Amino acid sequence: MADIHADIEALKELAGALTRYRHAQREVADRGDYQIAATRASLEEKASQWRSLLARRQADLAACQHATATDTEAGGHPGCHAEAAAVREAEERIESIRRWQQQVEDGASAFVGPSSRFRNLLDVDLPRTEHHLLAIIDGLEAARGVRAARS
Amino acid sequence: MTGRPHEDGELLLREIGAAWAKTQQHWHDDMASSFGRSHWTPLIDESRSYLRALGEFMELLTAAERETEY
Repeated sequence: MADIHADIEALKELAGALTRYRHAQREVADRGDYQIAATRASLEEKASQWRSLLARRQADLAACQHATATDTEAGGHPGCHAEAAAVREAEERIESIRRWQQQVEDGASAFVGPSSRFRNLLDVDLPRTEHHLLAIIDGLEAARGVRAARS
Repeated sequence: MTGRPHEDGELLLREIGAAWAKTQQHWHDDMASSFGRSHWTPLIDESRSYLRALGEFMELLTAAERETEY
C-alpha cells in the first residue's frame, strides 16, 4: 500500500521542503541586504572620521605654517613636512574610501535586478509552485480514493 | 545558518536539489516532466543566478571593508 502511494508521499515531502526553502532563502536575502546596508554605513563612518581628522590636520598645518613664518622672520625654520604629509595622507584615505563607496554603489546597482527577481520568486512564484504541488497531490489522492492527512 | 549569506543559500540550494532528486525516484510521469520544466528549472536557475550575484557582491563588500581599514 505504501509503495502504491509513494509518489504522493514524495510530493508531500517536496511541498514541505519548498516551503522551508522559501523561508530560509528569504532569510538569506534579508541577511544579504543587511550586509549591504552595514557596509555602506561602515564606509560612511570611516569617511566621516577621516574628514574630521583631515580638518584637524589642516588646522595643525596652518598653525605650523604660521609658526614657521614667524620663526623664519626670527631666523629659525623648523618646517612643516610632517604636518603636510599628515594632511596628504588624510586626503588620500578619503579619496580611497570615496572610490570604494562608488564601487559598492555600482555593485548595488548591478545587484538590484537579480535581487528583485529572486524576491519575486520567493514571494510570488514559489507559493504558486507550492499550491500547484498541493493541487497535484489532491488530484492524485482523489483519483485513488486516498484521503490521508496532509503533512 | 551561520555562514556567509550566499554560502548558506548555496547549501539550501543543494538541499532542495536533493529533495527534488528523491521525489523523482517516485514521481516520473508526464506531470512530473511538466512540473520540472515549468516550475523546477526556473526555480533553480533563478536561485543560482541570485546566489552567484550575491556571492560576487559579498566579495566586493568584504574587499571594501578590508581595503579601507587604516
